[in-house]
Amino acid sequence: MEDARIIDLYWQRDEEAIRATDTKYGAFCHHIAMNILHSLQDSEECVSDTYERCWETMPPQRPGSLRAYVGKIVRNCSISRYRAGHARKRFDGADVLLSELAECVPGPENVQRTVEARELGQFISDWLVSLDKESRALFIRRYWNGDPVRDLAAELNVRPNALTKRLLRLREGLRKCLEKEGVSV
Amino acid sequence: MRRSEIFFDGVTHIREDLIEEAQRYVFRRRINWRRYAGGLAACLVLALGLSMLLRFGGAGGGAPSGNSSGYDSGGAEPGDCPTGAMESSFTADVVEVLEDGALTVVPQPGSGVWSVADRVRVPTADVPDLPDVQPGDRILVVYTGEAGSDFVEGVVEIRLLD
Repeated sequence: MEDARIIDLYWQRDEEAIRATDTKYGAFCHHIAMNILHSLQDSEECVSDTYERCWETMPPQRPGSLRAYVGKIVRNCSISRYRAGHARKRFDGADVLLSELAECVPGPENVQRTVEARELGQFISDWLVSLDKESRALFIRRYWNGDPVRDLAAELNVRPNALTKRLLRLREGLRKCLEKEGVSV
Repeated sequence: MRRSEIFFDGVTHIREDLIEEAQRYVFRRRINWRRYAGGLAACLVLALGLSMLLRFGGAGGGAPSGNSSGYDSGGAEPGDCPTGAMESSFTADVVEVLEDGALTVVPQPGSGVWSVADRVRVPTADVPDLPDVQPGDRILVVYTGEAGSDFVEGVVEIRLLD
């Protein structure tokens, strides 16, 4: 079923919309939640919360990409559950992602102003547009989807170490871009 | 909230069209040349070996030899040629002088595999200082090529015997 048709079902308050969302993007949502939480039970609860949130926000929302929309919601649900005191295991899920993203935060000597998450997202989007398609997809798959490095390396048929270095260069590039703009968080 | 978590939220707000593009993108799988290096090297060595074999391997096939099995004269007197080819010779009686100057001869007993009744064609086109040979003359044929039941090749000298 096309995204536009599913969104119409939400607007018509037809519960078939939730079933259609689960059919089309259920695995996608579970994948993102598992990448962050590494817990099947927590992931299922997050996906369930995601569908509830979709029902609450459509209408008035009519997203251009339903996949990106539900992906954002499940990311927010997952990181909220993570912050709520879920038992943190070292080198798992969100810990690794957060430690890598910490490297993108510009140094204090280069900061002219701090920005909120939404504005930061715009800066990151502008930086992503300056990259080639593959690097852009790589960054998003790693830090938005939360896909493990080994899975991405297998898709590219490269060694995980080589991909790790490439991701490091990408993060350094983002940090330098933000330093050039004089922004931080 | 930690800065990294704020950054995480910032990533969440990446433009939807970029998110969608990344989900659809199919990564180009890199070719691991190291995996095929051994096979490629073996193919290269094989190709080089074959080319060298074809280029130099047939050079020795046509070399004249005075000791060709089964056809050489038992009375052969192998000698050294300026070219290095082995010389052989036999005695024979001239039966006929052909139109092209070649001779039909009958090898003498003791000339090896040729029986007395065999007739051998002896080419003379490349023989220097060819004597005036007539039917009934006895000659010594010196050759460096191959010899068969009715032919001889590489004749380098014809000596008229008394």
